[in-house]
Amino acid sequence: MTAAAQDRYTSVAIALHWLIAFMVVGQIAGGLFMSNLDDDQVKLKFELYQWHKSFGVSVLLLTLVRLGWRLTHKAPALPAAMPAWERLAARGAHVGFYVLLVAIPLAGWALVSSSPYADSVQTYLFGVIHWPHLPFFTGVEDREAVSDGFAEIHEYLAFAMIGLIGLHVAAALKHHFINKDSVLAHMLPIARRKG
Amino acid sequence: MKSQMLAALAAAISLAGCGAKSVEAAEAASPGGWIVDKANSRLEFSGAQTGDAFTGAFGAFDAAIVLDPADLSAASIKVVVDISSAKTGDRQRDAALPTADWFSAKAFPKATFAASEIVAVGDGAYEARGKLTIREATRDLALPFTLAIDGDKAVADGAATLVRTDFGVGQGEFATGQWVGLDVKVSFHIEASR
Repeated sequence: MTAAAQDRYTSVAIALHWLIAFMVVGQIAGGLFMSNLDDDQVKLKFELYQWHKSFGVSVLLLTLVRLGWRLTHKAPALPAAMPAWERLAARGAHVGFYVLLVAIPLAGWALVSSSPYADSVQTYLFGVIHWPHLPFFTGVEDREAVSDGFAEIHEYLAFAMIGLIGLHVAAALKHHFINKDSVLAHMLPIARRKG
Repeated sequence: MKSQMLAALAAAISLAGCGAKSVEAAEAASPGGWIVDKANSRLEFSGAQTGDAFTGAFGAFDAAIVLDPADLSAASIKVVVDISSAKTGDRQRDAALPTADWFSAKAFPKATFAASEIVAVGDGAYEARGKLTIREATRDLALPFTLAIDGDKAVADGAATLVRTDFGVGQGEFATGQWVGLDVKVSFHIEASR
C-alpha cells in the first residue's frame, strides 16, 4: 500500500461514516422530538415513529457493513507525535461508537418488538419492506414493563451517543486547529492534505 | 406458457370456490332467490386512523338473498364474510387487521349478517333487521338499503355505521379512538340476478 493511499480512509469508509453520521444526528433529533410530542398529535407522532424505525434499521445495517469494511481495510496511521493515552482514548471512542451504533438500534428493535402495540403495528421500512419483530417476546405477560425497560436503555444509550459525538467532534477539531495534523482530513469527503 | 398456467390455476381456484359455495347457490336458487354477481358487487368499509380517513373492502363474501318485494314475509338475507379478505391498500394496516387485537381472523374467520325481517320503509327503500356477528359478539342491526329491480336484475345499495368496539375490534391499546376511530362505516353495492 502506498503512502498516499494511507493518507485517508478509503472512499467507502468515508461515505459510510458521513452517511451514518447524518442519520444518527437526525435520529437523535427526531427521537427526542417525537417522544416529547403530545398524545393529541397522533398523526405526526405515528409517522415520525415509522420514519425513526426505518432509519434506525438503516443505521444498524450500514454499521454492520461498516464494521465488516473496517475489519478488512486498514485505517490511516495516527500522527507519530500522538501520545499513547490519546491513541488509547481515540481507540476507545471508536470502539464505543461501534458498540452504540449496534446497541441503540437493537434496544429500539427490542422495545418495538415487546411493545403492547407490536401485533398491530408491524414495521415496514420506509413503508415498503417488512421488518420482523424480534421473536423473544411473544409470551411476555407484562409487555408494557418490558418495553419500557428497553425504552430506557435505548434512551440512556442515546444520551451516551450524544456525549461521545461531542467528544469526537471536539477531538477532530482539536487535531485540525490546534495540533494542525491530518487526522480530520483522514475522514473528509474531499482530500485536503496538510503539508 | 406462464399465462396459460395462470389461467389454468385461476380456473381451478374458481371451480374450487363454486364447490364450496354450492349450499348457498342452492339457497339462492329457491323461489324469490337472487344470485349475487360477485364481480360487480362490493362490500366496503371506511374509518379513520390517526385522523386520516381510509377505505377498505372485503374481497371475499357470500350472500344468500331471498327477496320478493311483493311478499316480504318470505324474505331473508344471509351474508357470510371471509374476515381475512379485508384489505385497505396499506401494508401496515392490512397486516394488523387479522391479528388478535382486531379481527382475530384465525379464531373468528367469518363475520355474518342474518336477517329474516325485511320491511319496506319507502319507495324502493327497505330495512333488513337482523343480527350481525363479528368476532365473538352478536348484535342487532337494522340495515337500511335501496333496491331497484329491473326484470331479472337487481341492484341494492346500503350502509350502516358500526362502533367497532361493540364487536371487540380493537383491543387493549386500541379500545379507545386515540389511534383508530371507533366509528366504521360499512357499505355495500350488490348486483344480482334471478
